[in-house]
Amino acid sequence: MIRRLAGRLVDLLGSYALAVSVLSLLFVLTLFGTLEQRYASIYDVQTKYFESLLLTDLRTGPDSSFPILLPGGYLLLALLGVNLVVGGVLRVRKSLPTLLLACGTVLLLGVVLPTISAGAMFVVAGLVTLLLFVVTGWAWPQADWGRLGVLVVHGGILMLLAAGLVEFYASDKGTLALAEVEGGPYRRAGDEFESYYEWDLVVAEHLEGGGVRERVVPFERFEGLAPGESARFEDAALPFDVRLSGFHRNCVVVQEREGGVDGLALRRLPPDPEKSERNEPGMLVTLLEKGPGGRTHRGLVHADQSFPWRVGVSREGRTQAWDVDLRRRRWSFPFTLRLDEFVAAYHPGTTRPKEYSSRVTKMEEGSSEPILITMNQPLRHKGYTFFQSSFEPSREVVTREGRRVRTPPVSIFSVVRNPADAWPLTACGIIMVGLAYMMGMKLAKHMRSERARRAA
Amino acid sequence: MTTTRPSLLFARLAPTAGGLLLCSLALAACGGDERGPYPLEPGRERPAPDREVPEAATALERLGVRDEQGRPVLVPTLPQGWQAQPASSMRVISARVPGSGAGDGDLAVSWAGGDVASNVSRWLGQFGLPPVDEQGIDALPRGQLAGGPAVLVEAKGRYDGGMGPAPAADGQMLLGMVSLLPGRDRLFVKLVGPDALVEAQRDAFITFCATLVRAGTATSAPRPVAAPTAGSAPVPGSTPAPGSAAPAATPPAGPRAGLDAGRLAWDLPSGWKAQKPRGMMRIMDFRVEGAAGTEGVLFQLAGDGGGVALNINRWRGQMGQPELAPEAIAALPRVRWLGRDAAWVEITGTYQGMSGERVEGALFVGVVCLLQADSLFFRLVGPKAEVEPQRDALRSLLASMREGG
Repeated sequence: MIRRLAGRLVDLLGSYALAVSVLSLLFVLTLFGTLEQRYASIYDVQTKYFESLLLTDLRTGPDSSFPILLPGGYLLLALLGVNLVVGGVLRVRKSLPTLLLACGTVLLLGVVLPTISAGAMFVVAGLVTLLLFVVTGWAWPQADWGRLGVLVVHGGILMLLAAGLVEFYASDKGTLALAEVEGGPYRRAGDEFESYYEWDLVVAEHLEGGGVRERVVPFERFEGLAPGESARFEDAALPFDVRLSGFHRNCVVVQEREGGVDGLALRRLPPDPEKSERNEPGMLVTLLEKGPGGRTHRGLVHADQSFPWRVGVSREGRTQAWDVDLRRRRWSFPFTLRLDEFVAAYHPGTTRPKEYSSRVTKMEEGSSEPILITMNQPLRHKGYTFFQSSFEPSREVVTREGRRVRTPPVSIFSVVRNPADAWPLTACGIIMVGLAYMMGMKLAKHMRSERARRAA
Repeated sequence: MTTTRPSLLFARLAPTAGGLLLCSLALAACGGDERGPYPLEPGRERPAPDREVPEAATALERLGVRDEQGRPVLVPTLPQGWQAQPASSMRVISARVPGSGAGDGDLAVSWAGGDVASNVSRWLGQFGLPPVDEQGIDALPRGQLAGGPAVLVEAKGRYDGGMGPAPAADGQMLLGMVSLLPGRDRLFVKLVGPDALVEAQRDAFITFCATLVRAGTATSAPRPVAAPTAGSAPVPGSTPAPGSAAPAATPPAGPRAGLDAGRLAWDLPSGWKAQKPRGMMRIMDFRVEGAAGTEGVLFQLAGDGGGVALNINRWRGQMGQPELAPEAIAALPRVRWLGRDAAWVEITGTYQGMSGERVEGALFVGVVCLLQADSLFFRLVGPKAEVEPQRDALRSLLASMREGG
């Protein structure tokens, strides 16, 4: 009985009906998600519809929703992956040579295609397709090669799904702003980029030499704190524990005549309906000095604060300064980029940019390499991709002392670290080979039957 | 085959379920509403802090404040002669600009939604002028409004009265500044009145817009103030258009609750030199001839700046000394500064500055003066041999300090 049930489950998981149902539901999710962007940011919609297991409501207005129960995008894509594996690979009728040749083809293309240019990819894909024709039609025509093309295509689609999964779990996306001139708030070179949506609490210890050593409370630890709930963090090297509470994803600082902290309080705002990166979080940070008689320091931190909260903490009879800051999450990359020149061309008579590009120098392990990044030509290196996404033009400003100064042009890059960055293109190459083989075989079969019909 | 009646099943399961529920409640009660403890994750070591922290900054200066709609609370510095009027639901700041017999000018600062072109077109429409599109906005002169870029709008002719108190009249002029910063709401400043009056107030208007600041940053350091430039201002190499007024280097005097640091004057002791301040909150830096390792800093904070005790103990921490008890702080010697008794503290030890500077065998002389709405601080730090002979000079400097110089 169990075997029969398992068989039915496998039948269901590999069925066309499941594939059609999943694809239909994905269409429905896309439709509802698109409509909901009227009231919520793309980031929020994407999280709710496509990174979820279940969807429990549909938003029908700024403050109203309609209860519903639908599978979320994450669950549907997982089902689609299982459906492909079971129905398109395991249960499809195939001979062992076909399976081996399909696996070999997918592996070969999966290894070779990411290492070559897009132009060369077409050549390699064409050669591999030709090789398949030679092997199956000329070298070993007696073997059963049915469904070879189908298996290769399904291998490519599985790689596409895997690329999405890897990107979901292992990619970082953010921004890097570099100026032509170093000074003040401007950085000319950098080896870190900042998140759009995630914020970390950073506790910085001032070191003897003038530097700082940072310790981090990651966003995941406090973003889910409910009202009235707190989280405690400790480190043996720190003279205090850190307690976080009252987290708001988007809030403002208001004056509080009674209560509050330093006469101030955080007032919650609804998330920005257009761009999630505009949300400004804030929370209450409490530093609890260790040891008997240790003092308690309470301070609000907010995304828009002008500078970190500096706290003097007693340690061995002296007061040591610590900085507490809420700032966008930062990721390092294993080389340094320096902006040498930013070039913008404008539409005649306007301030609207027509095209813009950045000449940068990539510095790594003692060597440097000049690189041009344009709007359609990103820099890809070591799994990181730098897209030219925006800029701030140079402006002449007058300081309060009356000095006229010119701000440097600032080039802004979107940065993506995605281990599966090249997988989608590779998957397309694999699918292309599979489809070309299938159509070629159909054509050959048709030509053979035509020849036979004419001969008859 | 046995069967179980529903009532019997319930009777068997109820104690188990109840026990589980009670255990859960007990666990929840024991755990409280605090998660963790979790370890802090190691971060990066940096050669210097990301952002400079001003001396004894207050929470208000650090965080700023917003109004009930989540908009920054703005602090105006009204030019000489302008008279503040009550704010309203539409106007966060309102002022009257007194004129001659032709009438007064009316200034309104307000937040509104919508794009720049449609709002500017609405203003132009009040003067019977055609609307502008985005390209027309691109061609307008640039200015600075509350710390961000803005466009300057002008219109002359017959004014239909709009929604403000100014009546419909001929020979009127509008000066407007519209923030270009993105956001849910956009900041608008509009001055309407007789054209001769408004024209005469052009520089004052531009300066008013440039010096409008968020609450909590009113005493912060010099921030860039954009000069209005004509046409395609952002194009590198562009220069201000002839006739486009630049804001005055020094904001005009206006009613202020606190000390106006710009009007502070003093007599420099012999051998002392005043230098441009190097950091936020600083009013002036001082150097002493023949004492290269010594630096004096005069700075101002809003309110009590955290109080006398906190600041003195912070200074003691920088010198590697333990904190003083409240009684000891109360017993510190006093000097006269701006007509008040200011606490004078001397600390010896190794000075460790916030920016990493270190002075062995240092003497730190600090003075804290609490005023009505602000606080003034002076610190003189350097090698003991250099600072000791400057005690009298510092006393004379503080004694000579006055407002309105």
